[in-house]
Amino acid sequence: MFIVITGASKGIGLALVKHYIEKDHTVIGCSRTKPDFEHERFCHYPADVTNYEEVQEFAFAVSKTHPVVDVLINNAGAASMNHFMLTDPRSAERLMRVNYLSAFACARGFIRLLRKSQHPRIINFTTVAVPLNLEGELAYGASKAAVESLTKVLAKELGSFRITVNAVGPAPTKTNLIANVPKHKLEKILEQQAIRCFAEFEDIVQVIDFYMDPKSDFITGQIIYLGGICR
Amino acid sequence: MKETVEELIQEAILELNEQMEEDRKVSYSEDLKLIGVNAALESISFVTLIAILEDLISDRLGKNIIIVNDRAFSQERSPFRSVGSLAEYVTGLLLETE
Repeated sequence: MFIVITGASKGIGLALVKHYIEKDHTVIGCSRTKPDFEHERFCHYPADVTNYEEVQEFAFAVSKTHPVVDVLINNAGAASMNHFMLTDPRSAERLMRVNYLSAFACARGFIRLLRKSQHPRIINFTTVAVPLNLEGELAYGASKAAVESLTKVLAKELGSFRITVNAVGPAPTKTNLIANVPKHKLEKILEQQAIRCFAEFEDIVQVIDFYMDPKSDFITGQIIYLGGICR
Repeated sequence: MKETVEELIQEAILELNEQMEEDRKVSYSEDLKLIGVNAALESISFVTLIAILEDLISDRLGKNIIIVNDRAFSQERSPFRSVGSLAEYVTGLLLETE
C-alpha cells in the first residue's frame, strides 16, 4: 500500500511511519520538521498542513511520483488544555486550523490520488474528549468534534468514490500531547473509561489496521474510541 | 489552450460515462447544462466530473489547479452552467498559471 501520514516527525505519527515501513508499505510523511528517520520506502515532504496552498503543492508533488494513494492518515494535530476563561481565542483558532482544517485540506488535496486506489481510505484522529465533553478541553474538543463531523459527512460524500472515511479516538496516550496535563486530570479521564489505563501505541494501530484492511471496504463513517467510552 | 481544455472535458465526460448507468450517460456538447434546474448531471456526477478533469489537467498539462473554489461561486454567472462556460473558466485558470 502507499500511505500518506501527516504530522510524521514525532510521536504517534513517526511511530506509524515506522510501523507501516516494517509491514512493507511505502510511506510519505509530511511535517514541518524532518523526522530523525530514513528508509528507502520512506519519503519526507516538508509542509505545513494548516496552509492550504502547501497541502496542494504536497499532493501535486506526490502525484508526480505516486499517482495512486491508498491511505491518507490525518494524524497532524495539537492539543491545548485550559479553562475557557483562560483560553486565548487565537489559541482556539490555531487548534481548529491544526486539527480540523488540516484534515479538510489534506482530504481535498488527495482525493484525486485516492480515487485511483482499489481500497481507498481516509483515517482521522479524534479524542475521547469529544464524547466525554471534558472540562478544560473546550478548544481541543471542539476542533476534534469538527473532525468527527468531517469524518461522517465525508464518508457520505465520498461513498460514491468507494473512499472510506473513519476516525480513531485514542484514550490518553503517553505522548507529547498530554505532557503538560496534570496527573490528577488524566486520572479523572481514565476513571470514565471502561478499561482504566493509558492507551498504548499498539491499541491505536490496531484500529487503523482494521480501517485499512482491504476487507473493511464497507466500514465507513465510524468513530472508534479506545478504552471503552460508553455513552 | 481552449481547444485543449475542451478535449480534456470530452475525455472527462467519456470517463464519467463509464461509471454511470446507461440511462444517465451524457453526450458532450457546449450547451450541456452541468448544474442547476434541468441539469444533465446529478450533483455527485458533477463532482466526479470535476475530479476527473482536475486529474486529466494534472496528468496531461502538469498543472495543479483547483476548479471549484470561492471565486467560481462568487461570479455573477456560474462557470459551471454549461460545458462551454466550464471550458472558458478552466482555460482562464490555466492561463493565469503561465
